[in-house]
Amino acid sequence: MPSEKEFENRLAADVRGMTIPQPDAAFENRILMAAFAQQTVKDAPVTVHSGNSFTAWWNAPRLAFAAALAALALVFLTSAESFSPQPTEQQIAQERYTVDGIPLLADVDVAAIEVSSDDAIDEYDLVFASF
Amino acid sequence: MTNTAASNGLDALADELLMKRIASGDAAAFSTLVNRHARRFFGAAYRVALNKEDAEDIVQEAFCKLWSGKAQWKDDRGAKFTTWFYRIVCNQAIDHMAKKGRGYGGELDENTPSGDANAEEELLSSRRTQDIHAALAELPERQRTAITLFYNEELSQKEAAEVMGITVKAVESLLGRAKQALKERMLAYA
Repeated sequence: MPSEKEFENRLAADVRGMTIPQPDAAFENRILMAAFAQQTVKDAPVTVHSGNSFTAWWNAPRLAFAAALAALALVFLTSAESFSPQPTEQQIAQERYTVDGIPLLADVDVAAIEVSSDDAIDEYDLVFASF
Repeated sequence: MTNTAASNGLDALADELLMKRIASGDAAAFSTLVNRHARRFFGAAYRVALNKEDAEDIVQEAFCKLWSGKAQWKDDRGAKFTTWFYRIVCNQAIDHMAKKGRGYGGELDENTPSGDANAEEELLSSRRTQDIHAALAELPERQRTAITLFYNEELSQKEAAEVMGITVKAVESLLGRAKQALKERMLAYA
């Protein structure tokens, strides 16, 4: 049985002499890459808010996308207007035969209307076939 | 990176001065510190984790904490960088092993190198390493940490207490209990 001192010395020698494997050759580089990559992720801008300069905001992809969308909408609306359907005969007649803002032909079949002249229509000269 | 550090004169700077530079985001200073100490702390982490991959991860995480500022060294307390960083590594080891959901005492690495040329001596050395490994693995982690700091890292009891965040009396107590437990186990293995 070894004495306390002998055991202490043997333990110290054994623990100190314990074979430790070597880390990988690229161990230090791996640490540096992990640390710097972590920093890059932390520092990367996530969003661009109004607090930044106008240039930065202008350059933001979201603004470019919004501008493209607005331009597309404008083109679409312009085209839609030029390709809008022609008013019907009844709509034209309703617009023409109005007295003090009251449509005279609201409930009348336009096809049955006879007018005295195409060029000089006087709403009071209308002859309603149904009368 | 070492060459770059040398050309910058960083290799000549003490750890504490490098830490000041690192605090202001000096990547070259950080690189110098990593190259100077990574393997030393790997040894300490290995003795606590008893597994090569875990030890590598522990040291990497500890250095990442240092670089990101999550672990802040305050030079005004007069602490040595190494003493402070042992504490970071030890705490990291405890967290790491707790996350892995197992205690200490991983398998001995089969490829553990031995410097002995003689096959018989190599075998004996390997056997002794395995015995020590097994005995240490059975210790509670705080006792193993105390043994590692005291015998391997050759810190004084006061420094070990500083690293572990406990009193000198508590370190003495941990060492006493650890030695008693190791004595019993080593005699059983003999």
